[in-house]
Amino acid sequence: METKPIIYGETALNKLVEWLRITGKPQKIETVVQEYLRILHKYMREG
Amino acid sequence: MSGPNFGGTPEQQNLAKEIFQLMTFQGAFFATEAPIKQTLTNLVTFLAHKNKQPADHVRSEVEAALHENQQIFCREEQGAEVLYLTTQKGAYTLREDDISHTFQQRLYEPENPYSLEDLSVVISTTRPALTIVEPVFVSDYWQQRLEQSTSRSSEEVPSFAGEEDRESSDLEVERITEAEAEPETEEPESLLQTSAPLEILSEAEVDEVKLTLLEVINAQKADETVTFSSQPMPSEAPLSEPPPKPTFGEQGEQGEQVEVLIELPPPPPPPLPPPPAKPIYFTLPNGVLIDLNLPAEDLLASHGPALKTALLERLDQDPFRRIVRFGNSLFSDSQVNNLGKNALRKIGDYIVEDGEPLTDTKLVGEIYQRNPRQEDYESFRFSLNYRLSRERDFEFVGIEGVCLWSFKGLPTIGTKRIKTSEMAQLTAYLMEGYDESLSLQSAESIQQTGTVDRFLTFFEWQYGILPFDASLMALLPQPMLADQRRSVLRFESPQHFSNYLVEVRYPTGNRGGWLQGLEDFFHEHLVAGALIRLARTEEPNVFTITYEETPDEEDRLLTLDEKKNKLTFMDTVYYCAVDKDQLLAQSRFGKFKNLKALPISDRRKAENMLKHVFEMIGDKLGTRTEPSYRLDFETLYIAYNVLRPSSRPYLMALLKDDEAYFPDLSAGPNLYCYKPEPEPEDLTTDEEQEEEGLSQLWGYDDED
Repeated sequence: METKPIIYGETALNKLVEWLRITGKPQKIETVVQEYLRILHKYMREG
Repeated sequence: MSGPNFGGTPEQQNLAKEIFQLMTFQGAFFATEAPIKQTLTNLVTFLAHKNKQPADHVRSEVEAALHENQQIFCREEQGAEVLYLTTQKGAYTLREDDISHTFQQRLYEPENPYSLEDLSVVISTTRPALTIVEPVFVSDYWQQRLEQSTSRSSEEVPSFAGEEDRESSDLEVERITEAEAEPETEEPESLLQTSAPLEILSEAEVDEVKLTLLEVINAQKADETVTFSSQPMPSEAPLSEPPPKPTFGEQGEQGEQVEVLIELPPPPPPPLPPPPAKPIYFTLPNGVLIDLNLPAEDLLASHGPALKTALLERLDQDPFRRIVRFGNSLFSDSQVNNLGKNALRKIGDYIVEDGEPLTDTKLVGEIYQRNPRQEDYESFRFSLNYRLSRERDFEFVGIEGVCLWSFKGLPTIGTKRIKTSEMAQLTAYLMEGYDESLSLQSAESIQQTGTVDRFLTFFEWQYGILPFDASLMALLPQPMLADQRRSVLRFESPQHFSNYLVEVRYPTGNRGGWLQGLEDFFHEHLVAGALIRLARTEEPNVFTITYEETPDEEDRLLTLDEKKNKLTFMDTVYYCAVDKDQLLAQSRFGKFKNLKALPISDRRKAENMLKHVFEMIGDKLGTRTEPSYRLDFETLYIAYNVLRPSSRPYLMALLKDDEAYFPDLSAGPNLYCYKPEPEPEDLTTDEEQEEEGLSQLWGYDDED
């Protein structure tokens, strides 16, 4: 299976925006990076 | 409203009408069809009393009159009591509810509803599993082989039956083709030989076989194919054969051997262990390889700064700016509140009116009346900070944890006698590596204890300025924003119950930083040479400044006469602990009054100041035409710090850079001499004067 390239800060950014919107309040950069890594991992696993 | 028509004789009609009016009056508030009941006894008692007639006579008359009007009065007997019923409408009919078509009935249709088990036939509570075709990567090599073999097999099929030698590496497609093209090919004895005649068993036989089969299944749980045969089971069960349905057959010509082959549906496969995670890598701009299979917490711990920086850079480049940030906080742009011009002006006016920078919490609370208990408090606070950060007239002067905002109309904090650009140049030596502030106290110690001790120089005392050296850098908070130039802190004096706003100017490029705003405190309580202590508090933007108090001492100390703009000595009483070597007393540093209070712009040139100090307070040696000056290093350091801030390493570097300065080892260990280049004699002036006299005498110009 061909692996999709990851552009950090661009790939699955919509999902990160959506997560931020759902949280409803500003988040610290550490929390955002952690969540973004999880989103990227899930995104790549699910294809 | 017209009443009902009454029957009977006129007397009976009148009586019936009277009773009807009596009863409808009784039930005046009843519904039109609601029954109004009255007993015969009550009616008789009332009418007998009213008409003053015997009750028996009245009873018979009432019964007769109401009997004649049965359509209006409904008679009802409850034991010995007789009741008459009527309605406002005039005729009572027993109410009958229409239950021919009810919701309750509909729920139970048909009469014999399905049982719960049968309902599952109609209603499925489970979602059918979707068939997901997983893409399988097939290398080009096999794809090419497949194409070749397919084309070849299609060509060879007619003559395939006669071909005996086959390459073992042929694909399965070829084998399938072979099987279809050569049905007569001998195969190992299989129970699945459909060419043999089959016999259909009776239901009883099938049930018996099933029971036996279940026993065997219990004994051999894992078998997929169960064969009943008098013959031993072939070792190679044709598992790849397609028929999934139970097949009952007989093998052998005699019909003695009955073979039943039932292929059971394959048991659910045991849960497989999760497949090993395939590596998912990506590379950060700085070349660091990140494995996404590692937990996010571990990645953040090991590559946190690089991950943060890379993400923030990317977000800043996002053309849609979907995620905005202020400091270390990120938020969705679509949820950021907007602030109009009026709101911004209102905030600016509020800050100017207060006279000093204000925190975001104060602005949010006092202007917008919001409190932290409100759900949208944090998002509104972020919106305010984000919007103000994009306005030119507002400047962020806070630190991490305390967002302070300044407005363009606010008064300057600290001295106005030194321009920002000039001070930045005066402290540039800190950026050139001549910082000695950590020689007595390490940065770790400062961070651990939260205190910094230092002696005040004359320049620091005079202008209320402290260079932002490494020791203060270890103590004070760092700027929160990348492009932040300054922050405002509050310094409290617990000894005098006073507090001062202090502006921290952060270093930029090759320009140094400094603190300003302590001028009043220094002049009021301290002298040059005093030992002060700066300490952190629980509030991140609040610090304390203290000194050791001593009994009063009086001395003639150096001071700057503002009116005459010159340095002079004045009688001064002080109450603080000082370093006697750095106390600028006239008895020791009397020559310091020769130093000129040069403009700050002139003091920026460090070499000129060094020369000035040597010439003004150094011991004059040599001749008039070839003078030289000698000065010990410690006095040079103190005198130099009267005019501008510096450090010992910086002074030493200045001395070494110029050949005019050299150590005078013959006179002492720390003595330095300065021998300026001899100035050429002013011959030009004499020649010019002589030439000018001749020109006047002879009457010609230089140009002739």
